[in-house]
Amino acid sequence: MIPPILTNPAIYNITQTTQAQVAIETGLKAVGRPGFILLDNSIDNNTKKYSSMKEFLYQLTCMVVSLGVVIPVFKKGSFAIARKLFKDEAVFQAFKKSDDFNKFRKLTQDEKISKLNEINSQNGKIFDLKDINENLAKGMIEVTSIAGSILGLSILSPLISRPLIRPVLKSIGLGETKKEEPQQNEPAKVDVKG
Amino acid sequence: MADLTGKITEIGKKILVSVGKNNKPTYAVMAIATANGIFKPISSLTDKKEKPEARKYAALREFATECVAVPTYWACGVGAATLGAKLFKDNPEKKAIARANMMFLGVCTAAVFVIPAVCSVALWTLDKALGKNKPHKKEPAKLDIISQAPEVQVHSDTGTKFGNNIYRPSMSTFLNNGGLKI
Repeated sequence: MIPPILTNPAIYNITQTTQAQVAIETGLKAVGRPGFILLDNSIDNNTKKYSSMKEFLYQLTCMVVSLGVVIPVFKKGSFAIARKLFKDEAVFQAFKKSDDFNKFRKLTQDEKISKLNEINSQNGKIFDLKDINENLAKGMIEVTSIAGSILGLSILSPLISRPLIRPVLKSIGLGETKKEEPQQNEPAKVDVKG
Repeated sequence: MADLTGKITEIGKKILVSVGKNNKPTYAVMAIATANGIFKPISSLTDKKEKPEARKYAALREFATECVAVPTYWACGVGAATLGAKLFKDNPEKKAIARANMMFLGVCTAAVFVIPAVCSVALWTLDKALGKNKPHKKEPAKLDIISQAPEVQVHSDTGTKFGNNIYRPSMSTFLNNGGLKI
């Protein structure tokens, strides 16, 4: 029996959104990576706890930084960039914000025509439905979201997490385990002269 | 120059349309893993709070992790998508959805299970190659003779006090240890 989840259109829509992909993937990393550290038998218990908690907090920081700050900023800026790159494209002239376009995409064919008529009357321009390149606009949103994710996850998160994680780990009693240095017994000096 | 700009714009437009039609989950995760492989080691190398050796080691581990992650994401995603397409080969409408959903499931499996598992093995091998994988030294079992021995009662009040000194008589006090002393 094949599970219905495989052909579920709602899941398909989620899989097509970069923001959802990044959120789910980072969430799974936050569970999977610390879990595997805890299962590793070659390291001692204190190191396991410290490393797994550090990894968990790092992934959590990644999620907050990219989903809370970077992707929304990039998503909003995507249409502003697109208007400069593709000056003649009707879709970027008709819709000023990516949110307006996303709402438009979810409409039925008839609703889209009436929405365009409404936009035409407001702008004083005539946009036809066949001129609206939905794939281009959707691609622009997703590519800028990927760029935002890269900035958030790969560049900003390591810089932000570094000063944040160490104090948090210390506050919950998981300070960095210091290796005990072997005591070196210095040979007794023989006072030959004295 | 204008021609070149026009060509670049046209190529960019084609890429955007392709992503807009089908935003495969592998695109985002592979792009992020590639960027992680470049920027995270640089970040580790610039961490001034760590010792230089620790910095280099952390950077190498991060680089190795992402080197494992990129092909694993691709293999798991594409493999699962192919399986999804085979399951619904008779239904073209469901086939496209199954391909995308299975690819997403493949990427999720890679993130939660396959990559950490492969990394554990790969990094263990790396540690071994670098001589960092030292076996746990087990302390030799100590012979416990103290706890097993019967408790000997020591009476501290035996002896005669002379000021702060306690005089405890012993047999040698009464034995004649005399003789010729040289």
